[in-house]
Amino acid sequence: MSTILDVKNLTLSFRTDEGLVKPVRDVSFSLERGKTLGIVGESGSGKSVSTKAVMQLLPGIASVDPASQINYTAKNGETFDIAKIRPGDPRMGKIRGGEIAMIFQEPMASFSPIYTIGNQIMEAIQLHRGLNKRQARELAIEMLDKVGITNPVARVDQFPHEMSGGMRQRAMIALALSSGPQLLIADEPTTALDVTIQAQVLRLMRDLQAELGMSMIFITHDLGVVAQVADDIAVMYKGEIVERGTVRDVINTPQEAYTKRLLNAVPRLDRVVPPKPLNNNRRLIDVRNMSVDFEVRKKKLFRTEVEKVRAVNNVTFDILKGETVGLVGESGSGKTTVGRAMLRAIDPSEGEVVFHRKKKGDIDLAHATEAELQEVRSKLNMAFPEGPVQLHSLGSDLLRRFRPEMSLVFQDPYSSLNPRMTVRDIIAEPLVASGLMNSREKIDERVREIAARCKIDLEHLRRFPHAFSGGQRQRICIARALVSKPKFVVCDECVSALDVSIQAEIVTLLKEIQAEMGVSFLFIAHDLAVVAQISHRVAVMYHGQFVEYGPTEKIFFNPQHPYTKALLSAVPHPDPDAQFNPIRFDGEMVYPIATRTPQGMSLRIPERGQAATDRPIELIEIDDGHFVACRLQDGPVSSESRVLEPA
Amino acid sequence: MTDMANMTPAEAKAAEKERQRLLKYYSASQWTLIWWRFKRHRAAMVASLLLGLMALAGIFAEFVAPYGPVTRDTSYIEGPPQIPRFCDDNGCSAVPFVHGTMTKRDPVTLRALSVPDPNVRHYLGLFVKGEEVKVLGFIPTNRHLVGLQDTDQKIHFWGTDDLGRDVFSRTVYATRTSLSIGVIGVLISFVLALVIGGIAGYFSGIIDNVIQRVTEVIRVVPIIPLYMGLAAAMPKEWSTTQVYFAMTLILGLFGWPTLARRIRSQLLSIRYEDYVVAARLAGAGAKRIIGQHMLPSFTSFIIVDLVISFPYMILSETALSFVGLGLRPPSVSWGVLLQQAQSVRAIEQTPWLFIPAVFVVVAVLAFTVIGDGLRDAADPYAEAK
Repeated sequence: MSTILDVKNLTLSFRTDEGLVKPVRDVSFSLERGKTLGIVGESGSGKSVSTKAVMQLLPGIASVDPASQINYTAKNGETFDIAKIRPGDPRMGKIRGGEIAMIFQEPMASFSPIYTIGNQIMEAIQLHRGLNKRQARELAIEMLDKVGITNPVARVDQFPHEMSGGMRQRAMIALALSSGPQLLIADEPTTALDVTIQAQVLRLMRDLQAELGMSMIFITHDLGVVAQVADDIAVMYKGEIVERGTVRDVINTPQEAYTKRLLNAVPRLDRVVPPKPLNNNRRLIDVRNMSVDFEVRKKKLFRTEVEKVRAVNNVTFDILKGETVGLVGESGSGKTTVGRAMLRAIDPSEGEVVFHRKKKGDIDLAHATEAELQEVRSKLNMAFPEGPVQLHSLGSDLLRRFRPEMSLVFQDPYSSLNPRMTVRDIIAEPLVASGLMNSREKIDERVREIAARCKIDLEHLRRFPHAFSGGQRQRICIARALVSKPKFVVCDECVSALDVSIQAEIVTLLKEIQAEMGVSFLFIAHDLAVVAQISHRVAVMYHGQFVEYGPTEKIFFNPQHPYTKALLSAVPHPDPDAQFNPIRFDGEMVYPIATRTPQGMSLRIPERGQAATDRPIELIEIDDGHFVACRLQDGPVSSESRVLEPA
Repeated sequence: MTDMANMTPAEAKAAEKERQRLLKYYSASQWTLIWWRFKRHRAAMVASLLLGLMALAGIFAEFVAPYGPVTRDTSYIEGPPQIPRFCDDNGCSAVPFVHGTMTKRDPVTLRALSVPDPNVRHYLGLFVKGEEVKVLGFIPTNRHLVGLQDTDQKIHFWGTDDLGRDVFSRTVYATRTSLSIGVIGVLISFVLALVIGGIAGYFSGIIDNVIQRVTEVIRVVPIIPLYMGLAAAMPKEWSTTQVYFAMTLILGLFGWPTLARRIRSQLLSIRYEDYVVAARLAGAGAKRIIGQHMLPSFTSFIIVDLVISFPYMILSETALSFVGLGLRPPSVSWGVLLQQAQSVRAIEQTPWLFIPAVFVVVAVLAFTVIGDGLRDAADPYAEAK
């Protein structure tokens, strides 16, 4: 085995507003031919930057310490130090993209939108392999075929926007591999993908590596992913490598305190103990047959056609007081829309959202008439202005008054905080804007109280958002969401952008707050393990519909719907010995057929191609509180389809 | 913080200083951050300094210029620049001086020429007495920043024109006119842009559509012929002040479309930003959302746009006056001054009449560089990530 890349004492410094920082300090690692090195670390640990130094892709504010060495052995056997090569050296042009290829996180951003996929792959091939146009095209098609893109002859002429995220990432891999690199650097290649797609891409990368015998550096924050693909692993923390070793050693018997902490913080679907379902019956919110349509305007030459796209289709569920309902599903499944529609950030097109209040007087937020709202107005003990109410502005005005009762925590803690306001003003905004509180002292008191509760340093209240890290910002967002003492909070992917250790802290914080304030959460996330940790009940969404809904334990440990099963099987566990056999779910939806039996319900999956019954898909309660979307059929179980066995 | 104990006093002091600096950084408002980053842009700082000097000279033109814009020196017509010197053939002096002048005839053309008389020295002085003027229009003084100690003699740093008027003084007065036309023109177009762009961006839909189409119509009208037509329509009997205001109005009225579009698109683009949605969900009304959340987030960009549109105004004024359609003598602006330098004769015999052109170039460049610096500085997260 020969070493292909040997990085020694790599130190980088950046000139920033906060002074000179060293994002990478004294980092050494080496990579052997045909092996995969996983670099794991949280954001800001320097894992990405150190590999960018290998490619000489550092930003202008960076400088490489003279003691650093990046010894690279080229294909022709020559070994040289990349750290010493000046930018623009012809050797670098050959290496970059030719011998070392890179895959980035966001497949959309790494393709040029104005060229076809084929064009871009062919360009790389022509540049690095010196083939002519026709040969390059043939090779491009071959590469697309190799990465599992069906019908590559047609796909090669498609533009990036015509492909789905997973497809684009496959094409990206094809592009990276087309020049025949001996080293592939993959920087969080699956982070932006849904779990089912991630599983496919991971498997593909593993297979291709074995087939082509190349080396790979796999950068990720996800220990589950790294356990599935890497041979060796380097754990980075604050710019330094704290632990290095084989995957098995590091994950099974971590030596360093930080590695242990990291492993403990990772929520594990195979070990999670979900919260027990609440056994009260005090419902807070009832969602009945809610649908949300989006209008898509298609501009024709002389007229505009309005097409309706149903983002959420006939969703019915409820949330109890003090309960957390998890909402999972892949991107585009409509989970965010459900959350927003419940808050009336988007208006539902059909159905009802009923908010139960202590005194009798439920409010149908979707369809409150003037009379009902007048009634609400007297019941909500808020100071509404006296005098006649303008009819046309009535709805939105009363809604505004009702805002303090509910709130939203956003996914991105960077874009959801106004950069021009101090933390104090941001947190106080719901109190001030809704007119809930008027005296400055009272507002300050409440802000300090909730900030302390969310573990924000009170000294920080005078600061502006740019002073904070992602986790701290998310605490500010949570404080803002809770400052008006709402009864219902939608957490829309609120931990997805955070590092695992911070994720764990935020989840703990949310649980504590729920225990204290009795607030109900709708917890929207694509990370199943986090959802399992916090939710009393879980709903699985697919294409705008609920496919399965019930107590967390039942959904995760006894899933009934094929989609739920596929979703769960696609989650990689941080265990190198675990079997990773994701069920391939190709999007062709198969709904089980439910039959009433004397014992209860029996489910079976119809054979593919078998004529489906014309009965509508319904959510059918197959067990106590456990609903599955299926077609209900009365009659005997037909023999040619297999009976679904409880897992 | 834990190793605070085993630090030397010097290290502790440095650490404390660093802590204070970071504290200042964290509680710095957006504007402070922009200022900090702007300060680091050296070219922009130099440009602001130059522009500041120009603006000061323009504001205090009466005091800075040794003579009035129309004061004639009949003894020094079309005279070349007089450069103050410390030494000549007769020795050196601590106080700078210029030579006196005498009239000679060109042996070929027999034209009268003013040439230096090396035997006469006139010494320069600061705050010398001269013409009675009113600084800023109301402070009477007869003192001027620089001049000759001998009040009967005159110094022409940049020479004189064909009527014997001091080019330096005229340039200083012209700076005031040209810069102020720029400022007022930009302000007028800014107010228009803010209102029009704001309405289009906030209400969107049909209103936006109508406003956009009107904007497009205005943008496709070729601008110079339009200016020419409007300028030609100005009655000849208007006073110079009236012409001046008409000019600023014309420039302002046609300068807004670009800026209005920018404001509209900014408003549209941040309408669905998370923090705007957050403000809506916090229960804020439309007025509060626009005033407290949306407008502050792009004021910095608007200011950059404003700064960048200055040169455009100044150039328009200069161009119009240059072709004789803008300001008319006796008012002075850079364009008016350059109009005098149009002829081949001027290039050949009195090249110093081109000095105002340097001012136009410097001012336009300075505004552009400052705009650049501001744009870099205004993006709060440009390098933070």
